[in-house]
Amino acid sequence: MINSSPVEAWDTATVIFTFAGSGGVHLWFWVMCILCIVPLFVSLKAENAVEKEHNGNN
Amino acid sequence: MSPEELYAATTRANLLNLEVYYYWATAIMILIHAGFLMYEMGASRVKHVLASGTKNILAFAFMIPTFFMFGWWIYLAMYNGFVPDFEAGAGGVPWSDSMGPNLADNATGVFWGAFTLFACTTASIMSGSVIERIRMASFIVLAVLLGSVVWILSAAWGWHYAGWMVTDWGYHDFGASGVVHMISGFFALGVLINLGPRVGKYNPDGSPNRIRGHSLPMTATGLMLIVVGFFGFLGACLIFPGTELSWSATQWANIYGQPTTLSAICFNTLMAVAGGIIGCYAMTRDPFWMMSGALCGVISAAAGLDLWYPGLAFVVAFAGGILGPWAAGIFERLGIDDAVGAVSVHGVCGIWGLLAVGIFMGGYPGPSEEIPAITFMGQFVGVIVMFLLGFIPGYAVSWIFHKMGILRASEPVQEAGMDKEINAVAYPEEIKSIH
Repeated sequence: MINSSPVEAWDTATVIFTFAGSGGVHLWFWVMCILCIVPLFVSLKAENAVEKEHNGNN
Repeated sequence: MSPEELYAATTRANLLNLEVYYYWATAIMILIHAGFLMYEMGASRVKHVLASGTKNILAFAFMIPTFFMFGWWIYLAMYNGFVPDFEAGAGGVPWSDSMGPNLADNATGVFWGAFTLFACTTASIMSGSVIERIRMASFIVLAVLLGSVVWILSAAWGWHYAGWMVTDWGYHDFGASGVVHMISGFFALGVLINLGPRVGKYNPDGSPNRIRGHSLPMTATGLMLIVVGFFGFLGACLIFPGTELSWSATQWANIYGQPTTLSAICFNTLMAVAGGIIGCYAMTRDPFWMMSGALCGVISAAAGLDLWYPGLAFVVAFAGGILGPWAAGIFERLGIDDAVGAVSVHGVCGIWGLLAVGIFMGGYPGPSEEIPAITFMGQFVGVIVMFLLGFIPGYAVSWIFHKMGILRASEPVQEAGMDKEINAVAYPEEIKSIH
């Protein structure tokens, strides 16, 4: 279990999201960016296969 | 105006705002039902369309009076297990002063309404998985059992400030990954085992055939409506501040009493919708699953929507978007004909949602000193309880109906179309099913 809490007591808490104030925020931000890009390549690969198939038939 | 009078006026105004907030959240939640209606009808073949739609609407209609009869009482009284607290439940009996128009109670009606719509959602989740072969009367009884008994019992245990899973284990399930989605998904699994597959789903060698619904555009639009409805659903998971019923005078809180904001839910719900759609698209490139990915994403992130860093909510949802269709393929190969993938989308992604909180949310304190912090073990116990509480009643009651011969439509009726049982035709212009 990963300790990601910036909160020790609720009555004094302000920023409460996981990994707030630590490098974890940057890690998950960049993972998110990569996950946005990878599907584009997956899509492109499939589109290219369809293009090749149809151009080959012409 | 004295300070006391000012305080009383402010509190009164806040109470009216609370009433308005939950009233409109409930109205938006009805869009979930409208969305499931379109989703299921689109996923049905032409000869089954109206039977699927009628089934869905009747589940909605039967849920409302039965939740009035006993659902709300179960929530108030059964937080400690199977032995009711009659004193705590007194306000939920259907002849209580609170259970009707009462000028001294602005809250019970809107809370009851919101919980009733949660119950309708659970029934809709099961409804899609069993289309094209379940008989109407048996389905309605199963839907009522799920929405007005089983779901609300799970909510009393794990979605109630005094529920034993919260007080004993620190169970954290803000947006109901477990108490709504796991319960519904695994209840549906229990029913599907006894119900059996649609005629034509499997070949003699056991290999599955893909049965296409008659309108994927209708299904996709329905799923988008469900996403809209989820904003009402998840907004209603918050406790309004500044009233005598609130956790705080100045801040929103989750149902357990931990402070959060509506902004937190907005950030993370949108990121979860996007993560699920993109994850499912990357996994399948199938429009049906891409839209189901929105549900996979929200359900995967739901348990921690009040606390996720939005980037992490996206990642958790993306993983859910991969998990959902993958699990659906496994169930299909095991002979479970789940027409819309509800067991995977709601059940399996619900498991992931609870465990993701257990994995990534270590260290968050409980809502009070007496209540444990979030732990992996607390979330794991939640997974076990939600699985058993959902699966056992669904399997047991559908088994009884199966033995009585009232669960499944016969092969000739399925081939003629379930719409024969309700004497209706969806498309009088003779649009033909190709299957």
